[in-house]
Amino acid sequence: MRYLLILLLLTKFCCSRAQNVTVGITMPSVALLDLLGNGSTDFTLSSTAPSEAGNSINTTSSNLGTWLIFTSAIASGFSRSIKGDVSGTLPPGIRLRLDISPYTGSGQGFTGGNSIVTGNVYLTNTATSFIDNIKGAFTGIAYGSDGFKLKYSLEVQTYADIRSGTSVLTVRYTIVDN
Amino acid sequence: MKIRLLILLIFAVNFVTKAQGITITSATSWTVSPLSSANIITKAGKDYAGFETSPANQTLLKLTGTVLCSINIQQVTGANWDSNLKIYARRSGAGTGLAILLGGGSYQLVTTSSTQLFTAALGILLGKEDIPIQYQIQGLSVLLPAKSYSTTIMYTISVVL
Repeated sequence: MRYLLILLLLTKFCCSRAQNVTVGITMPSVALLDLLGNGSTDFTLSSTAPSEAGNSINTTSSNLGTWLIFTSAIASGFSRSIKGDVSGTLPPGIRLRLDISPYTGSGQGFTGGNSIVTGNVYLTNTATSFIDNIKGAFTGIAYGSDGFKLKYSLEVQTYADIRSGTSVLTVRYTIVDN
Repeated sequence: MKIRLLILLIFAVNFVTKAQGITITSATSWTVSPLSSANIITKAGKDYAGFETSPANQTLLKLTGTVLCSINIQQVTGANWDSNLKIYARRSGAGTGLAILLGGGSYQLVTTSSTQLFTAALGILLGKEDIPIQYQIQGLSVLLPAKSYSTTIMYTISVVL
């Protein structure tokens, strides 16, 4: 009987049959934005004088060579937006229009009302939002197929203010927490 | 006399079927923070490379028992985990001791159901220590909310024969 008791004790107390391991991972916040150009993101827009008296100047010059790409990781319940502004002085009487095409590409995070283009904007010295409700998303990095295609163009704002001359501007984009 | 033998037999069977044990002799947690350099996004437009891998000997198991046993693994999910994050585990070595281990050398998905990771032929003099287990977390993406996630992996040992 002594051996039986020993066996019983061994059975009851010697061994644990389940063990736990805790696994954890921290996913950080990420906010990165970039521009892809066809060699360069610099461009020149110009207006041309009319050839016949009484006609308006021609402002049909535009640039379609720049794509905006970004990566965003953010905590649940929060979102980001992308804003654009210019540093420098716009030509008098002229405004710089930015048209943003809907997202295309191999990325994710652009369905269900996320990372949507809220509208085309005129770029001024005050930052204006044009992509909003950005949560977790990445555009991809292939020039010409991934991201948001940008179109810059000139428009006459106040004809009487227009003067001949050249202006150099810098367009700045920022991704910001809402 | 027959009654004594019967009682002895009952206790012996009880011992053989219940006396196997499993112990973790290493740290009982693996936390990835910060992410490895392979998963640091340095260029806009990209997602994470996709997975994190633990050291090969992240978990060390010690097994005792008297019979052929199955070492099972399962994930005990909680509210602080995202189902898009997948945990894989493998037995990355043989450990020390005379017991024979079979299987488990390749990564297998750890699910919420108890699944056999490997088997061990154990005996009174055939124990096994320092059996190394390696993990991978797959499914990393910026699409997941930025925060700290944690879950529990449970090892169990049970008699096969």
